[in-house]
Amino acid sequence: MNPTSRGRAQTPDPDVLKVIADAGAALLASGGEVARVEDTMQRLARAYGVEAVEVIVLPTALFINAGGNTVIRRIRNRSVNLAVVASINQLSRDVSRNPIPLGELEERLAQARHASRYRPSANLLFAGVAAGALSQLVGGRGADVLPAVIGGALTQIVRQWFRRIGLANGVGDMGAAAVAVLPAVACAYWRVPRPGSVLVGGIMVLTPGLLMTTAVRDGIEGDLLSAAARVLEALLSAGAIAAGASLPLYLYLALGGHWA
Amino acid sequence: MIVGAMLSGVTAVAFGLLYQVAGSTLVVAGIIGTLSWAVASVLKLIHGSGLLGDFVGALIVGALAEVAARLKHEPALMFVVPAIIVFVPGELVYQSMVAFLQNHFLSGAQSGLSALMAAGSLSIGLALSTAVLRPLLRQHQTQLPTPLMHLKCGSIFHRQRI
Repeated sequence: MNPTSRGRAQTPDPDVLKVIADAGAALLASGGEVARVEDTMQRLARAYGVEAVEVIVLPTALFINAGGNTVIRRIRNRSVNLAVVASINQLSRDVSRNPIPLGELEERLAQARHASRYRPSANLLFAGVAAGALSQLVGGRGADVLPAVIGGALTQIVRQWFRRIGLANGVGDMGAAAVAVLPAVACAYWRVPRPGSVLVGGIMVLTPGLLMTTAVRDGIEGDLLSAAARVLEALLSAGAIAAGASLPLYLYLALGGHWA
Repeated sequence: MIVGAMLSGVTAVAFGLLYQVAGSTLVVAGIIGTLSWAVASVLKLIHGSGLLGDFVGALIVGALAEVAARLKHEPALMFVVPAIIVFVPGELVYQSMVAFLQNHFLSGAQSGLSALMAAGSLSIGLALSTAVLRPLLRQHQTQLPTPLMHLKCGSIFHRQRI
């Protein structure tokens, strides 16, 4: 094609770049660190014979360029799904060891993108157990376990529902936190001694733990833009949770409710 | 305290499940959660230790996760994220929230600032262990894991591949 380029494979197949960009976008949208996304995309590119490749990954977009072709992907919806991170990581390892045809890679990528190991109903149980255990860790009594489990499960129900109808993350966090508080308010109303531990258990299910962790790891790698963006996102999310939780609590206290 | 460490392990496993982690990775995350909480709660017994427990706990989480990631060829995130949740200062945020709602501004500000500090010490602990250990482990990548390889093979659950 290009008379000035010597050797072969200087102009890569645009389809290769597209598939690689899709892999990176899926990884980024599921909560992967910037360095991991760049690394995975470069490894995949090398496996398909694209040597001179430039990759830029931002928290909200990624660019891949090779031989005059550029592919851009915009990332709008981010969520936490470590199964996707693990399976794309595994896929890129497998492919760099023994390359598979591009069509097969595309197929396995589509599978990896929908990798979710547990059913949504099982997630309710996990959220409940997490909330119950946390309520004990922050000093709750045995009687606090059940309301905390209910709180955790309720939070997860609301969060999944909001995500399904496509509500923005911050608003979803706020609504879910407002619901998470209800079992604690009920506990306080019926004079259970420590409603606080029930409340903390329910709310911690929403904690932006992954954002905080990836922010730190991006900062170490020198991806400052992404680190700053993720710190901001974590702070906003924490603020939304606190605001959402405050609303029912405020109403309850304003109506003269008893709080231990 | 032993009960607390166990609960911390349960919490780590539950959050791991919530974030779709599976198999032996989950077990390792639970162990990391248990160990780090045990050390942190011993440190919190020292009078006036302040946020030292949180810092050292995060340090241990980061260090063990980095080693586990190297041994099991999984992203370190899979171990850090479930195990770090128990250290998140949710209770301080709650106290701050309730104090503000009850018009106790001073104690609200105090709890809120403490929560920020605690989050900061968690970040520093994680950052320090990762920044120091990652280059070290990368250097010895070829020699170090060989005597420990059996850890990788002895998975407790059958790992499902997707």
